Amino acid sequence: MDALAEGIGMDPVELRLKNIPAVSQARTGNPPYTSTGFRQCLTDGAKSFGWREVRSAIASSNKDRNWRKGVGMAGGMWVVGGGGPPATIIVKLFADGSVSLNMGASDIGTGTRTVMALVVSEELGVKPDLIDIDNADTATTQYATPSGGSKTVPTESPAVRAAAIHVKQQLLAMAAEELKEKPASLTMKGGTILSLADPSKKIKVTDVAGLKKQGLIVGIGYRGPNPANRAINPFAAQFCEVEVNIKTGEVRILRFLSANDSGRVMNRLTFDSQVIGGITMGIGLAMTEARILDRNQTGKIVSGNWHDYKIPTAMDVPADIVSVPIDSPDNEANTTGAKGLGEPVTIPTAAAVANAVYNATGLRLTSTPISPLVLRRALAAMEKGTSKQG
Amino acid sequence: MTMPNFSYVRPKSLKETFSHLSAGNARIHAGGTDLLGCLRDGVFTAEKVVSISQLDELKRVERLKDGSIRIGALATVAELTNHELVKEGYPALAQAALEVASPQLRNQGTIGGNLCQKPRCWYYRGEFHCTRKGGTRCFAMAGENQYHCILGGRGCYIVHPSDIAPALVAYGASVEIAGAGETRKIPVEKLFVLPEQGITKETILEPGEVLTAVLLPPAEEGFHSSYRKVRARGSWDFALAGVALALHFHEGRVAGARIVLSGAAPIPWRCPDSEKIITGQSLDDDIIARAAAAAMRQARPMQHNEYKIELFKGLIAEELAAYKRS
Ligand SMILES: Cc1cc2nc3c(=O)[nH]c(=O)nc-3n(C[C@H](O)[C@H](O)[C@H](O)COP(=O)(O)OP(=O)(O)OC[C@H]3O[C@@H](n4cnc5c(N)ncnc54)[C@H](O)[C@@H]3O)c2cc1C
Repeated sequence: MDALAEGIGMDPVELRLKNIPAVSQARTGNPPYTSTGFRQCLTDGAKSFGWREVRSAIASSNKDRNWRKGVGMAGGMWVVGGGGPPATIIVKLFADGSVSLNMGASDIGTGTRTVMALVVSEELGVKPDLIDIDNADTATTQYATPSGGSKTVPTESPAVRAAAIHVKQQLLAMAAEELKEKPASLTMKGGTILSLADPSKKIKVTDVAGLKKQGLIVGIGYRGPNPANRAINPFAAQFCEVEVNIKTGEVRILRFLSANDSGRVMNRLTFDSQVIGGITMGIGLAMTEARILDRNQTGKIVSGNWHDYKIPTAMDVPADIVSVPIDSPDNEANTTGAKGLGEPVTIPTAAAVANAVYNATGLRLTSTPISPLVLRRALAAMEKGTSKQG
Repeated sequence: MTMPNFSYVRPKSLKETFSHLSAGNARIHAGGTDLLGCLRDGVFTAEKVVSISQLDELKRVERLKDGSIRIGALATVAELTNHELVKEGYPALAQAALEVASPQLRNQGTIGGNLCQKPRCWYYRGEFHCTRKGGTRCFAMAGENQYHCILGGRGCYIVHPSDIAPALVAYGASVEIAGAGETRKIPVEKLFVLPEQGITKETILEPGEVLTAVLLPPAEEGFHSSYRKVRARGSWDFALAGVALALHFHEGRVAGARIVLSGAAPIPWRCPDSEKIITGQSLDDDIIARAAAAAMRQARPMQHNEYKIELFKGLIAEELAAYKRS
């Protein structure tokens, strides 16, 4: 994409803006996307990064130094990330107003539990700290699909919402009897049920006689199907600034920015955490990680430990990572409007680094990792080329 | 792999240490950061592990009467990064120590262990019965040799893993080696062994000997030094290429020079030709380029490590240029 943009003398952001597809070009029948925030990823990302200004300023800052600066960007979409059935959730509302959420899915450190509590809270008006979550225990929870494919939130959260709604329906039916109203004309707010028409008609959730008698209300929610003939995908645009030593082939990543459209931003902290983690892993792909086999002799792996297989350290990741969330609920995709995040973040990272290295050096690298070893070889090839021409 | 069985002792004196070491297959344990990995990965075995951690006499860092600095073998790598005596007079050593491994490893690893650590060749450390482990074949020769040596290899193509050693060689430092018999003092430059001199050992230490201290000659006026390391990962990674410089300037000219490379050879590698080229000269671009080229004149790369030649030239030139008279 970058080479193409350069070939026709167009800014790489511009080239992408002119080619935003509304339909999936790879799938049979070219289904339309439920939503694509790619345009906003590109424009908002470029603006926050200062893309235009930095790009023109950088060219002149590189005279007579071994360390050359460069900027690069790349766009990406992730092939999955819409989630889907099956997912089954049980929500219990207890007579004391507290809630228990029972879910098979695990929280592998991504904040799944936080997000699910927020969905229950949104639906039932219960404070998140009154929600107890029992999850990923095969003795007490039902089957769930694995945490992968950036799908836990879009898979589980609609089922959580459905279970909470199931509880709410039963509760409102009980309250309607007591308030002499129709369930449909009632609403819930901060632990209280009130009439839409006459807010003075109200009852505290913990005072609802039916709930007190039963001790609890159990709601079950199932994940419904995704919309037919639609593609659900997260989108991203990333921008970075690097510094390359043209003598030694060292690369320093100075800053990174990622603008992600993953539908609704369910929680800003967990969202940014996925973005920072995704960039970190993307930098590993871009710069350091390689599985190396003893190709010519034994076929055994030689990089089979944490020293030789180099995942990035804090020293390889810039302190300056900016997350620009494109908060646009995808209401056609599912009932929480969320698409997946996590993996989509890692998609454009290595390409953005490679484009920045090109911008700094004129070297077009199309494989990873971009280590001093690889870069030094490429520099040598380029130096040979120029000396032949000269 | 699991940790094999061995007996473990913590003697209270050097004398006791020597007697433990004289028994069969015994190994010295200082910080254990290298030793335990080697034992677990089956690089070598030990029947007895002799911890020297109780020997307080090996922990001191002090200035001696003649102005030289004596660093006990158990001084940690972290101490070298922030000890006033080191930072003041021997910045290349402090810089090199800071480039070692990771904060946890620097806190635990010692200077003695750093000098006596085993090489990091992935064949040697892996499940390959190579020449250094007594086998008949060096797998690096026709294998994945991108991180291997371009100088000084023969039958084995390791690079010396230490960042600290090249800085010590640049300063003309010595080590004290004690055994059951007499204590020897050896220049660090003579401590290490090329494959052609002994393919299964890295140092001249005899079994049962303990490296007790490192001695740095007094720092002099007009003396400048530095260490820089190029690596694939920002922390917890050995050198692809590194250079320690110790330069003596007199009236704008180089009066004495030591240029020592890491990541180049099975031992810390001095560059006498380069040193000669810059001695007596004031540093300019031409001299610097000639010195950098001379350092690589003997280089014999293998299939995947030729990149190191230009890398070293660039690195040496960049480091020397920092001392250019503007
Ligand atoms: C993951 C990793 C990354 C690393 N990266 C770097 C790096 O970037 N640069 C670098 O320079 N080093 C690096 N190291 C090496 C590290 O610095 C050494 O492991 C450490 O300094 C060894 O000290 P120690 O006290 O733990 O030695 P130990 O593990 O106790 O001993 C190491 C070896 O030396 C012998 N020995 C120890 N002390 C003495 C003595 N006084 N006399 C005689 N023999 C002795 C032991 O028998 C053993 O064979 C790395 C190590 C690891 C594990």
